[in-house]
Amino acid sequence: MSVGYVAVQWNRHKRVYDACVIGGILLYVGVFFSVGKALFAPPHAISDEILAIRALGTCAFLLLHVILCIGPLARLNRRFLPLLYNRRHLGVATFCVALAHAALIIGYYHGFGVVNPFVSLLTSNTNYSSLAAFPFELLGLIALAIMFLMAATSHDFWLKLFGAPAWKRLHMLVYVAYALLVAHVALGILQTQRAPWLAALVGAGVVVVASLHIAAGLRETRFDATASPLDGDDGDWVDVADVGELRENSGHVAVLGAGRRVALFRVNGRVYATTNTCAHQGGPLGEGRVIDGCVTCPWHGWQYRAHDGQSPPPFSEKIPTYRARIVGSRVQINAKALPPGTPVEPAVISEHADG
Amino acid sequence: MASFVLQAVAAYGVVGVLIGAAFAFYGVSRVDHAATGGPFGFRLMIWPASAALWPYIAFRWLRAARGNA
Repeated sequence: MSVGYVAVQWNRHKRVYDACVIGGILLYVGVFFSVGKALFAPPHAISDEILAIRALGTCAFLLLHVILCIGPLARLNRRFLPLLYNRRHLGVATFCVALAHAALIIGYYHGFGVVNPFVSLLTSNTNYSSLAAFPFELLGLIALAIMFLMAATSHDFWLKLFGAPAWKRLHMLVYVAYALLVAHVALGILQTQRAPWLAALVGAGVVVVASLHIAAGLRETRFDATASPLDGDDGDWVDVADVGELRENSGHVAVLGAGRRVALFRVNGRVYATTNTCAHQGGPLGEGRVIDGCVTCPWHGWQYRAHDGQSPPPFSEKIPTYRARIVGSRVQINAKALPPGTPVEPAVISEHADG
Repeated sequence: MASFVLQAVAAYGVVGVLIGAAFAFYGVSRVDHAATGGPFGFRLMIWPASAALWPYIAFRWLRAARGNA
């Protein structure tokens, strides 16, 4: 949240997360190297440099799969939310591993001639019309540039400077990078190795990523179709939930229609409603909890007061609020969002409504 | 052709490194007041993207200097 910037907003969870990421990377590269040495013993031995290139390349590709799967997994099952919390650090780590892979390749394959290594990289293979001999390195280079841009703009400063929607659009380029890397692998190592199990492994990765995104997308679409606007005199009110569905100090996501969602919070027998979209990265506030009296986003912990949608001092973020009322045991929300930071009276739950 | 492309990229990068450094270590607080007094580590963190996106950064900096952040 935006009160003074620091290099990294460390906390215990992030330290543990980063330690696991770095440990996992080192373990993977070490195991890959050791197994590679054992499998490719003389007379079929391959050099340490090539083993290192393959270890780092596969590691970065695997990490990118993990990054892409975390989002839909967290939508499908809340138990994956802790992985989402620090996904940006995972992205930066992935870029660093991919950069090491690229640096080794340029040094090993293009660094020992009289031609500039980068000129050599761009000119040593120009078979753009051939699939079997396509200069796949170029695809990896473009993907690396995209990953650099995302890693370099991962600080909250850039999120605020660009605005959340533009920042999110920029970071959706990860899918372009992924497509380029799949092509990089398919036209590179899969052409030279001709190993069916390797092709099957890459294919399985693509299927897992695509399936999880489709499953999460279908779930969201089905949920959005459950909106039930009220017929009658005041059409702005939407019936969204039963009082009994709301748990004390927990969020509840409801649908207003036209793809809009509202987050309901039950606090001390009162119901508050805010937008479901966090001002930080669009996290689902209704899947969060009320902590220290504040609505807390489940993605990165940004907080807002339930009664006016403002972050507690000294922070200054604001989100839209909604008017709520209770009719019988049903919670109804006025679909007209109030300007961000507008104080609103909560709906009071009577003993009768609570059942 | 490849040499020309690389020279163009290198020229863009050199200008970017200089403008990015000036922005990260001096101009950033003009664009975002929350960056005022930001520690060295923060400035180091925003330098690479400031260098890569220097035309946009220069535009934002100029706009802020004209009093329209």
